[in-house]
Amino acid sequence: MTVILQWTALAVCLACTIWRSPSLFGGRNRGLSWAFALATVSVALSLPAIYLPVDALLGGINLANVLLRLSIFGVFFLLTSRVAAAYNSPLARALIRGPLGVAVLAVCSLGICVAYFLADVDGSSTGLVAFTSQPEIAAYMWFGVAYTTYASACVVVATAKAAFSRRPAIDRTAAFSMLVGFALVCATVPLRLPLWKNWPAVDIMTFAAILFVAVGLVLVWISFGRRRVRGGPRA
Amino acid sequence: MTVAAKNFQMWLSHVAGSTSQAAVCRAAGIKRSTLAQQLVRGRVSLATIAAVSRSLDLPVVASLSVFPDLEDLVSGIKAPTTAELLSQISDADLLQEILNRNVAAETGNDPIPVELSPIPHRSSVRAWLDAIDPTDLRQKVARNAAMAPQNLSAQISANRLSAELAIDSARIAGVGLTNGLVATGFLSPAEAGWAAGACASALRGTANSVLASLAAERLEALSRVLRRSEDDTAAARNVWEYLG
Repeated sequence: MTVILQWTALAVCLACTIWRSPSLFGGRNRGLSWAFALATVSVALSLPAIYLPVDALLGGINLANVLLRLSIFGVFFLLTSRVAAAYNSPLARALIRGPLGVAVLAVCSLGICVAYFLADVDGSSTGLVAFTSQPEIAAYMWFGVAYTTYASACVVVATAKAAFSRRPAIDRTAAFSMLVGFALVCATVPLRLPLWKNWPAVDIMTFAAILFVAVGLVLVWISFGRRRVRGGPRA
Repeated sequence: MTVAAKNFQMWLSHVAGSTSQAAVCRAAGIKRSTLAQQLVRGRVSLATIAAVSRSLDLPVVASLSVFPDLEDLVSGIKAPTTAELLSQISDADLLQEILNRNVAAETGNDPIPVELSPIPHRSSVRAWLDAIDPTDLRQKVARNAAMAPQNLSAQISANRLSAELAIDSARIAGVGLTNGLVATGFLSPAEAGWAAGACASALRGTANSVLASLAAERLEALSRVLRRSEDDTAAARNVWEYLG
């Protein structure tokens, strides 16, 4: 189940990146195209089949995992700040792009790097599962979760408002799909606590969240592509 | 609104005799599958009755009154009030009349009569409801039909009103029972018993001041509709701008 979900998420992210590749350098919403490129990297690095060779190339000291974490941060920063702006939530946008948001991002990124250097992570291990008993690695993981949860929580309200508004059905479906995705990211937090620890569930929810957000964005692009047919504004 | 298929078939055999169902459908311009489906479900729509009735040159209102709950439709025909007649004149025609009168006043000639566009106009349902009772008619209609007020509002915004609700509204407001069916486009004014040219003569007989305030109300309603649609467009555009 998890493996199928992971490969599906990778295929979807890769397809979206290729679809948007013309706008990676110049063009419409470059940041969004980069978010998908980074998402593809992140999902790819969570698969052992890709992680292990890449990490071997980087010296077999799990530097690839740091790369994975930082690219996830990039995805969330680029994506959630755009979603907040798209759904007209200046507060959410300020919480992500403003001083507070940038501070959270900086602290989490720094935390990741420091915890990585303090920990002893010799020997490639996808998702660092072999080292979870180390307190440094626990801190490393919590820094990783902190920023994604923070950014997702910021846009949950904005997407929910749009999902239950009187927009056209396709736009509401798009917003709802993103809402489910970002809510799932937040919902994984309790399952990471020692009390309710459930890693398989966390994995399933994480990759389902990626799929939901990607589907939401694809729906936005379809709606954008049909704008002339619908008699909407000429954007 | 629908009637029982059994009653419909009794009526059909009475008015169409032995004509086959296929021939009836062809003449009435309704799909055979549509009628077949309605008969299977046991409920036939009023639109079907009206279409069959027109194809047989029968008066639509009299045909409808054959069915239970609609018996009082013929006796309930009442000439529309001036307000109802004016409500069925489109915004553009009202404004044109004002302009024509203005020109006439300046040149000293008789105003050129406006060629009224056919009923129903774009917001005919809302205008008719406002004309028959500006206070709490909608709440009463919704309560009577046991439907949520926002569902009624949605119908009105889309310039729709089911035949049942149109008749109900007229009954509650105490106006001619068929008048709402004109506003929804279900009946032509003539079928509903409106005199020919009634709207035009009501318009001619309306004082300038009344016309001006009516136009003001219409423009106010129009501006609300336009603002709503502009807001929706701006929201969609915003999403496309950041995520497109």
